[in-house]
Amino acid sequence: MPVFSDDLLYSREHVWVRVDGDFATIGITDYAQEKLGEVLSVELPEIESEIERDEPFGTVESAEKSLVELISPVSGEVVNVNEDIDDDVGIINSDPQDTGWLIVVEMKDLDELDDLLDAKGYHDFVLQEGEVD
Amino acid sequence: MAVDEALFRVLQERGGPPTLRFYGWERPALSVGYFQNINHEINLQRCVECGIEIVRRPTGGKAVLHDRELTYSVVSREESPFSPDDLIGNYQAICACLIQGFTELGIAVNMAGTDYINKDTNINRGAICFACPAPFELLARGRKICGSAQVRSRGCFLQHGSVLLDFDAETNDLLFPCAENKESGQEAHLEARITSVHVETGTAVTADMLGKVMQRAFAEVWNIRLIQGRLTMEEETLKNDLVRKKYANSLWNGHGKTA
Repeated sequence: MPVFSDDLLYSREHVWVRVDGDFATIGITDYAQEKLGEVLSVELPEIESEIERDEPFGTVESAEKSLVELISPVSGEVVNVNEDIDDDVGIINSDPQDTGWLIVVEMKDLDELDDLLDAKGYHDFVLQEGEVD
Repeated sequence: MAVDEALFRVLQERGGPPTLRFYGWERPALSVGYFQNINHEINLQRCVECGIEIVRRPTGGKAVLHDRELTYSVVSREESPFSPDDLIGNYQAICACLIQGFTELGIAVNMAGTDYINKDTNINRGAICFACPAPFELLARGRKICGSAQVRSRGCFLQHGSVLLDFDAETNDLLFPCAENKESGQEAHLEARITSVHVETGTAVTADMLGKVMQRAFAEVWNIRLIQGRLTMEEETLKNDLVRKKYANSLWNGHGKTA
């Protein structure tokens, strides 16, 4: 049963956002990692690169030979990348919504957050996909 | 590769019906998975000597030698009348069609279970697609006959696959570093774990024949009518752009970078 955290916002592309002022910490949702299976490889943007909302900012590959493009929920500059993933990519599966975070972005436009879902909204969204009780 | 990615990107933007392609390669070539490090995983010198060019796929998975095989691609919305809208559902929906095609050829195949990963860890199977089946890939008599990999984005997926018409373990072995160490047993491993349409049927099935069989299978299993299509102007333009920026670019094929 995937975890839906009340302190996070969620995109319909299965990415979560933790907001702290102008900064957004971003990762893949617990629901997404369950669907994806064991993550083997991750590609993330470099610090100081610009990312755009609704555009890919990275990719993950699972043991099922599936590559998934990560779609950014916000626009802005990447100010931090989780280096712990280089040592242990498994934290994306084991703790996707906390220590398995991916990047931190300094947001350009906080209004973009308005399109994101709260935990209940995201739960209802994935419920429509028929995979969550 | 460029055609497949162009179809995939335009589908994300515009929607539309799925596209099924079967194709071959003008010359033998090696396609490598999106994340593969070719400097470590491929014997580049041997590829040059054999005149085998390398192209990096937009999909995951491992290296495939495209020689005496049939390549297929499916570009579709994740959610379709043919399958549940998740990774495994999409894989299984396509597998069902391929199984029907193999059955028509008299080849009994089944899907690999989820316990195949991490077997035989002493082999350089990590670099070679066919050396080790991933879950839900197709096996004939326990040997891999078809390899597949996907990329998923914005509610759409592109699945690439390769069906072996024939398999030359020695040539495959030489393209990967373990061949330098005969004691690795890589060639024997490949021989034991991989089969082909030729081996299974005992007849020389051509790529064209196999393509027609598989087309019929997709039409029957999904209960659809296949319509011969052409790239739209938008897809054609994007394809040309992708050829220039990615698939004919050594930065992409060698390192997975476009700039």
